[in-house]
Amino acid sequence: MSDTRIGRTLVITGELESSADVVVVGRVDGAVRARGVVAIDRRGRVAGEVRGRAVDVEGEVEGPVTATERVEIGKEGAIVGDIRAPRILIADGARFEGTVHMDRARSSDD
Amino acid sequence: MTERKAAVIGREARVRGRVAGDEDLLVFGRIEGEVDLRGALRVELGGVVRARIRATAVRVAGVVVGEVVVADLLHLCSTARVVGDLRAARVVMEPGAQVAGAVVVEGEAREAEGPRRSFAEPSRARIQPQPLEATPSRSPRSPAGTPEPDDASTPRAARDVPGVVEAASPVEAALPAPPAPVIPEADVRPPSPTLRPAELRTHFVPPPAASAVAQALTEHRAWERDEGAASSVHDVGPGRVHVRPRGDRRPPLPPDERAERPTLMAPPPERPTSLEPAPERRVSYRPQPEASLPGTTGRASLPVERPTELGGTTGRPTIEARGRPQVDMEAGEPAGRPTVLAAQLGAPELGARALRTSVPSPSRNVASARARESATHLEPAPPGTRLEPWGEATRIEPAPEDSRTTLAARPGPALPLVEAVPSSTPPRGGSPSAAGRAPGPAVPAPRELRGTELPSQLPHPSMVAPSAVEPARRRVLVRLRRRGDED
Repeated sequence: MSDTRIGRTLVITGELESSADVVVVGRVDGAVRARGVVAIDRRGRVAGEVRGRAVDVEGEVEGPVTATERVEIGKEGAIVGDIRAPRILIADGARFEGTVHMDRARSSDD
Repeated sequence: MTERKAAVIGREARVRGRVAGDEDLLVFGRIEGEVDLRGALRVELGGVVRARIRATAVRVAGVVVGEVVVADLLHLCSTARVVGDLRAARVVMEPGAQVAGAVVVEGEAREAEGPRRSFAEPSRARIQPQPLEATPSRSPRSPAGTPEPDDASTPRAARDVPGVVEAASPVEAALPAPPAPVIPEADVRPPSPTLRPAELRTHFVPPPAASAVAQALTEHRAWERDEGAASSVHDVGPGRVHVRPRGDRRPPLPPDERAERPTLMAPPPERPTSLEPAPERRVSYRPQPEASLPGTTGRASLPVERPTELGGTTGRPTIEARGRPQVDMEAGEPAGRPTVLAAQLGAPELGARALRTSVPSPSRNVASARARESATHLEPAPPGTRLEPWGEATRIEPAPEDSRTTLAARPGPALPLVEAVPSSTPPRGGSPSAAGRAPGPAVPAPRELRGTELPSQLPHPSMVAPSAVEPARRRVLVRLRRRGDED
């Protein structure tokens, strides 16, 4: 078991780091850094930096989002912060407030 | 078909901070900080939790460092390594589990704010954002007649069957579902009434009272033997001891209450105290006539003080068993100087007042009273005898040659003639002068006193012939005043 799942009622006050995938269904008041896919569930909340290989936002993120491959914002997702990724997908109905930097592909360690 | 999913901290994940929630949590990775769950916490093999844990149920198969407080069941697997204090209502320790800390088994589960959960009972919580206060009872023992909210959307059978969960979100559906936690059958069974070896570690049996008393008694005796004590301890029975101070002269205890060690009647020879008599000097309850004070009969009681200055006594007072001091004196050679009493006793016409004023007796001395009493009834001493101090002057012996006093009774007139010291009178302890020894009716001229020298041989007015001494006395007195004025 390498994937991390933050449950709905779980609240993490701090930072979460993983070299695998992370699914946030609950709440994280801090940074989320993963080398895999970072998935923010529609019921999930992240108040801090989100960094991963790919970031899928279906919930709410308040902070910078950085991805090495892509950043996707779902129809119920919302991002308040800067996005730095080579590829960005914003669905219809998504909310976004910040700047977009579509730089070339870079590793998640940057 | 969805399955209930618990929160999971993956093997590659690390959380720094506080983790709180109302659901179960599986830890395969690492948590540092604090864990506060209203559900069950399960630290799997390889998982490390360095935090203070508060949960309803805890199962440890990995490493836990910190205080653990569990409301219900604390299960330590064989691979568990726990460093910290543990407190739970129930504790199960498998063989091989290692714990470094205190284990407190409260015996009853503390009701947490939320429902009681454990891995044995699947959670029936609804994954819906609802406030905890408005959350209905999630206990599986809820009355059947109590309708649960939102139960129409999901059939009851699906809710009651473990492993049945709600439909997952698209994100969750994309990810592979984690396997459901497998709970061994042994975890569900309650602990057996008979204590297993692993469970015995959590039970504390206080030692019986008798062994505690015996141990304390043994330690005290060892200390007393090594360090010495002012008391001795006697074991007079089960759970009872009798302490006596050293020097207690009371009769020994009855045989049935006497300890093995010797009583205090015989003081230990290795530590003689100042109040204990020397081996060669035993306390005599009935003093022998030769050991008593000269001139006294029976037993004289003196206050327990410093050795008295009675002439000729070299002994020291001892303590009687009954608390009354008793003098055990050994009359020796009269080391002191014959006092004026010697001369006074030779003059029967002297009054008792003269005797009292001239006898240097210590206060509260019964012996002195007896001596005085006996001295007042003495017969006139025949000539040529020397009078013993304090004694019954039956005869007066001639004064020795080295006697310093001139007041000793001498053959001749009835009244001893006191010679006012005409020439240099030696100070106390000095050698007597030749003039002091020579008897004679004539009164020489008083000598000149030097410094603080005192006229040690001034006669008592009642002892000398007024016509012979008075002029000299008057002259000496006058001289003293003048000398004092000059100084």
